[in-house]
Amino acid sequence: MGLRRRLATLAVDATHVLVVEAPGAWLARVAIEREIGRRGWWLATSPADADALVTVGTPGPQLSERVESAWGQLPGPRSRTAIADHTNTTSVQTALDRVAAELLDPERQIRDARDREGFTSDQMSGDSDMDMSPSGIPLAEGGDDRDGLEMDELHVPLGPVLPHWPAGVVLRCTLQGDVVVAAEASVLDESDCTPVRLEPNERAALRCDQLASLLALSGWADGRAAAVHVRDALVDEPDTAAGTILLDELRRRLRRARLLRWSLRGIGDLRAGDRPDTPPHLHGDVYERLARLVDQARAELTGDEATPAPQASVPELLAVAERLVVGLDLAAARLVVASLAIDVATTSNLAPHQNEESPDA
Amino acid sequence: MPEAATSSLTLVPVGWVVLAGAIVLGLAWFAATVDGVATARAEASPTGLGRPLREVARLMRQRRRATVEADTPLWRIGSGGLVVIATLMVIVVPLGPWTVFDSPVGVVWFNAMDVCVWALVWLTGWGPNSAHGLVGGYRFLAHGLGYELPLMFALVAPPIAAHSLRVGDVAAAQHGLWFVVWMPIAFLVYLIGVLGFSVWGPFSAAVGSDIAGGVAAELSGLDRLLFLTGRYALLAAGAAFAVPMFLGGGAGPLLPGWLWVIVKTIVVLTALVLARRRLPVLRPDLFMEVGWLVLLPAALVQVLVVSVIAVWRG
Repeated sequence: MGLRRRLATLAVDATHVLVVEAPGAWLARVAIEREIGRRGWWLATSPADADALVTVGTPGPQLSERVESAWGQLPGPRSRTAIADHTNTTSVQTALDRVAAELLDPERQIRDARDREGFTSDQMSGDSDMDMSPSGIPLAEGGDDRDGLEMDELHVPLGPVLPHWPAGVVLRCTLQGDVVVAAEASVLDESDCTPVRLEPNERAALRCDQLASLLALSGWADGRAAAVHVRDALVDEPDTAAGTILLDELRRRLRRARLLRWSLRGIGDLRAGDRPDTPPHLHGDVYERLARLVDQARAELTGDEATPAPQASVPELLAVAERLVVGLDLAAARLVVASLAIDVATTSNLAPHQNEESPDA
Repeated sequence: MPEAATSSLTLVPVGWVVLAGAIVLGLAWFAATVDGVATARAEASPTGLGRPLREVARLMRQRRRATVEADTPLWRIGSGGLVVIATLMVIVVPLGPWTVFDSPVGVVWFNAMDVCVWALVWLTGWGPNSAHGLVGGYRFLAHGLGYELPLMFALVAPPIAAHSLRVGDVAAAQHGLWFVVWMPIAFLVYLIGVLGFSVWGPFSAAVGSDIAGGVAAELSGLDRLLFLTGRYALLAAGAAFAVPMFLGGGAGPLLPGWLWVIVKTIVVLTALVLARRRLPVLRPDLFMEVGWLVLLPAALVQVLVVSVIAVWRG
């Protein structure tokens, strides 16, 4: 008993948390990420990697459904909690304390394990072996790949429960190997999205957060940590001068990162020549958009009117994303989506020209 | 083995392979600690040194998962096999005067083992019947196509200079001048290869967070523990093999030979571990070009230079 308890205590000190963000709740997500870091816990990369599931914000019915399905995939011992939008540090702390207590409670975990629906062998095998859909999964259909050879097509939705992915967005991809051959983007629970107003320092912090996601996807852990550090400082400190210094430092550091530039150059290149109707601040490749994110953060912070406040509506961004990812491999596609800095809750209401095809009622 | 008599090393009974495994696990633990400390420092979180212990406790407590229509045997072989391969790699590394497996073709043996990693990582991605895992597997194979041939040629250079494929002979041939000094390109290419087969740092696209952990996306509990340990163990084995190949084996002042082997291994291992946070991932399609157009020719030129010197010296 003593040993088992001690093992459990150690284990809970390394809890991996899968955070699912509803649109508009990114400040709450930042709070939870910081608390996770402060405890030496980890952010989980997938449900299999997670001990706890934390939902931030108020998810609509469609997102809730995805969260339920992710919850069913946590191996256990497991625990879940939800954190509403406007939270202070203590409520985040109590929520995570509760998670730790639940993970430590053996009776509760045994009960949970017993109540779970397992996949029994009857459901799985039976006479379906020769079937066209083993266990209800239809076999992949073939399609011509980019070299004209027939290749299996897989239909894989990206998001909404995926690390470093814009909240509430789903990109339904058709994959051949790891190459995206078709993509269709949508926003979950679109009618429920409530626009969020942010202070200048928070808008700058949001840009840093998007930058941090992009750097995380590039695989540069120290770069991501630097961007997260600036983000957290901007959230805490509305002081413009201090924030500007940090952003300039970050900018210099990014400029020195040659390997990063080499690996991001030329992906998702959008030129004014091909599509004059796209917003100019989206032009260029992933690396140019990454550099622009820092400039945008700086402009948001200083309220610099000389730099035009660049905003595109969510439908515009999604249309650009759909078009750019086709023909890219999954890694490049994810970098492109991150570089577009889509934020469903803050982008839509600030759009200057939300005229033609925005489908919201 | 008829030629075993020509070696200067003492062959220990095969039971000592357990010690080799224990050393590999110890080094893997050390590597995980170094990474934990570096992570804690960069992300300003408190628990650096204890991270491996906590993580092991967590994964031993976690339940195993099953996925629908998984290829379970192959999946388990993939995730569990990495530690075994790492152990099989280090048995040809002489620990000072002793060796468990004094093969006349030890260098080839190591190379054969590192090729096995291809199959294991691919199976780990293939097994769970998950799109993310599969994509991770593709990425690893694409990286493999880029790093494997340069790695093979980098491993050719030291045996040419030593006139032997026996690891002990290669170490002994470096009297006075370590191979790293006059074959630096081979050493560098070799280290890149080690990062490659350990799925580590710049070569971690196969387990990237952009595909929810890739080949590791569906692993939990013991399977995940074995897979993660396997990656650290492979790094450790790669670092250990660099010692007789490029760093003079057990040669060094004051300390006994076996201790020098371990000290040198730890230095190389630390450098490899710390590379992870500092560099972005090399995307497989980009790295393929580097591998074939830069690393492979560079390794071949290195082999040519070494061969000419070896012939000239007779």
